[in-house]
Amino acid sequence: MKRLVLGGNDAVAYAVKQSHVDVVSAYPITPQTSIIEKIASFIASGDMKARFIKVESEHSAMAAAMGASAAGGRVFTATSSQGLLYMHEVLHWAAGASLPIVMANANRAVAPPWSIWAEQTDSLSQRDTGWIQFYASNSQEAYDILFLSFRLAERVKNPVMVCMDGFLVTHTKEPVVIFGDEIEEFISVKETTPLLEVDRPKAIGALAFPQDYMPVKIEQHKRISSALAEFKTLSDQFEKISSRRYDPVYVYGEENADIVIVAMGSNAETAHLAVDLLNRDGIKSKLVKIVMFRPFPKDELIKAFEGAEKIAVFDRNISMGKGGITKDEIVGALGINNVVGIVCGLGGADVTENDMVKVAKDILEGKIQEDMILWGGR
Amino acid sequence: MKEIGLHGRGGQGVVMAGELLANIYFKEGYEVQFMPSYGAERRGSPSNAYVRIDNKRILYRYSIKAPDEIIVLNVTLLPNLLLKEGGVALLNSSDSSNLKKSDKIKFFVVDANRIALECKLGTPAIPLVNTALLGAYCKISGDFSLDTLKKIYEEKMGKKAYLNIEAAEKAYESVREV
Amino acid sequence: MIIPKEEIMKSNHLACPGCGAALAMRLALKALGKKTIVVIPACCWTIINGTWGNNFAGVPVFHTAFATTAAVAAGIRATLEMQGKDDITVMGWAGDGGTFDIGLQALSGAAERNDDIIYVCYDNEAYMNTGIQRSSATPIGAETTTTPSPIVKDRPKKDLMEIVAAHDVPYIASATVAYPTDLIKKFQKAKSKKGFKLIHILSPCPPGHKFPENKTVEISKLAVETGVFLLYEIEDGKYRINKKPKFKDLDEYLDIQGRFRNTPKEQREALKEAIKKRWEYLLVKAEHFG
Repeated sequence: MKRLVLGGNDAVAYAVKQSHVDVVSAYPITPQTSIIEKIASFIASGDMKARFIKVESEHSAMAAAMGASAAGGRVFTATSSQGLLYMHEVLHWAAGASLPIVMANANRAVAPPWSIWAEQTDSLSQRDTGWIQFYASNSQEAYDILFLSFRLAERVKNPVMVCMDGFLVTHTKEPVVIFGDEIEEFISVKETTPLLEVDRPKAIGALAFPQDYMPVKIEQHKRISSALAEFKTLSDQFEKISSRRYDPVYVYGEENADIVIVAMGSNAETAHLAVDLLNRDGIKSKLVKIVMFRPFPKDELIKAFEGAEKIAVFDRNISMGKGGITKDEIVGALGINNVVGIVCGLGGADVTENDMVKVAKDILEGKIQEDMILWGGR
Repeated sequence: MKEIGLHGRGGQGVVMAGELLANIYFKEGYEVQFMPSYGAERRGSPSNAYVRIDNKRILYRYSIKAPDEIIVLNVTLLPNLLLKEGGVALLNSSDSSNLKKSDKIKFFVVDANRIALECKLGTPAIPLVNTALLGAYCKISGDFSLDTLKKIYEEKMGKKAYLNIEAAEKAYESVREV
Repeated sequence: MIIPKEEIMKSNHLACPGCGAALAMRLALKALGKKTIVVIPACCWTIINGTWGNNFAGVPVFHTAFATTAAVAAGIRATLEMQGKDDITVMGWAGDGGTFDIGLQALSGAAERNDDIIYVCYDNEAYMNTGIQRSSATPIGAETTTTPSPIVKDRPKKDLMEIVAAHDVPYIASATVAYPTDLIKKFQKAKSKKGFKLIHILSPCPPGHKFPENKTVEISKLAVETGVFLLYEIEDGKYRINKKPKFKDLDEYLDIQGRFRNTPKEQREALKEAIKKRWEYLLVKAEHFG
């Protein structure tokens, strides 16, 4: 193992290199581009043996990934924002066909107006496509979760999306522990199964009347839902190798907190600092970070919120006409009413620990009672 | 924690300087975070990069507005730059006569353009001054050794490293306080 | 040439009686054999191949999204290459809507990359699966539900062969079920060549073109004889005309198809003019690049 200064994109590319990927198909888009450039250079130098299909669009990127996966390959792709939205139809298809594709998504705001900066509305608007979704907060998480994702995707036969906030994670470079051969026994296990075999000719995805469609979808829902338990099993194995632990929900801070700060992605890093400041001021507080967004970690969140007085959910995303998306998911799943949603950081706007501390205090003092949009101007 | 801003124009090697600096500090045993500022970059337009340095893991995930210290590759940008009070500014300049002495900011200058050209880095139109300026910064910060800088240059630059090392050494020797 | 006896495609498929596309697949698979993987987007073949649990093609089939045929096929090939399985043919099998229109971008991408696949367009000259709407493959003068008389289609059919030819791929051919040995030979040739191959098959459609279901082969033949559909190949850039049209009276072809019942006289003339022009172009290409 060695420690290198890497951005989230670099870390993902290293993980892909070490993951025995057979096929990569991708189309460039800022801020995803450096992932696929690095992979291309690994292949060019012979450090990585894979076929890289340089497709003409994201729609085809996912389509080619599907074909490669259906033939039994381990497949990776990466995209962002507009590209992810362009894939939308094929995302449903990949999940419905139970194809264990792994995709990195650089979370970037959606146009118009044009923006290349961090926001999670792109991937959260793919919530219902049937993909498992992870949100990495830093380069190390992006690297580690990639390995876990290949194994998890193949174990439960469902595609996995690993999201990183654009620039704040993708391009922010920091020390990352990179495996040597230690990861080999974990990542060399391939549970891919070809769906297309000339000796056993089957048709994948044929027209299903209602009596056939419903059972297939029930099965798919079970499959993705099983990812919560399977992730824990794989995480146990991964921890033994890396001494780093990943759970669907991460907690930091005090039990029975006066205020819980919920965050996902890069905001969760800064939220550590807010929790420290609040605890220093005598306000018991805690960070709850959503690492796995789909399947939704309901039970883990119930446990994480035990004894919480108030919950502040910081969403770097927005469902227009409704508000923060993870806030809505939490309330919907848990049926609790002590939650305030804060939409913040859209299009890469800064969210600081002081912003979080102020919101937390205002909630506790009753100054904030309704969902809000955090925006102090430029 | 210390925050360092690197400011220049596209083509001068600002982003690379930031990444080199982060790696130098990392080799010295610090925790580091390198945050390039991405915008509508074009050759010649302002380009910024930032480095955070600390003794513990760095958790700040937002941009740096006013760093503790700045390294300015192109002084035409100076009027638009922010710096914390009591901060340090290292400027690529041959002439310090226009700089007003200030109690609030410590200015240092080094003629990195001349040094870069002497070391055959870049062209007279766009000298590659980044590696020279880090040599000067090594001297004024005292945070890391010239040896560590050399090792990182060798790791990251391969064949051209020796020219950049030469530039860094010259800047190390010739940087002066205003 | 002896047409292979073995039937890979099953006879209980769900095509309409007299379907040109069903006959085309039957012949294509005879040529390609069992070691073939087929990608089918939204098109008539989505239904023809059977509903959930069925697979009348008799080879592995991946049903896919409308615009994705060529890209999915490219992906399958990539994995097969990594697995060292070089004896399997990957075939995209799409209608004219999925090829001329919505799938053209992915088709162009695969052709430009020279992905090692056979892309087949069975061209029934309209969106037949959704009930006969015009596509960019619909000939000038034809009536469809979105070009009802008197506003019949007034633009010429897109020239798919030449679009793909502009990508400089190893093999392009047109075929019809009226000349089965010609069609089979072309598939065998496509199978033997590495890189991107296109086969464009005219696929008469009894309900869509409005003709009796026992006339599919006859109409296919008439299409060639009148010069409506030119049988030719472009192999490594070299043009070869497989069958010189007899230039039979076009009305003979038009009058047995209900879709041309309301074609105004001037559009019939425009169609004749277009046939003449295409043939002249092809002759020049065959002479200069033969």
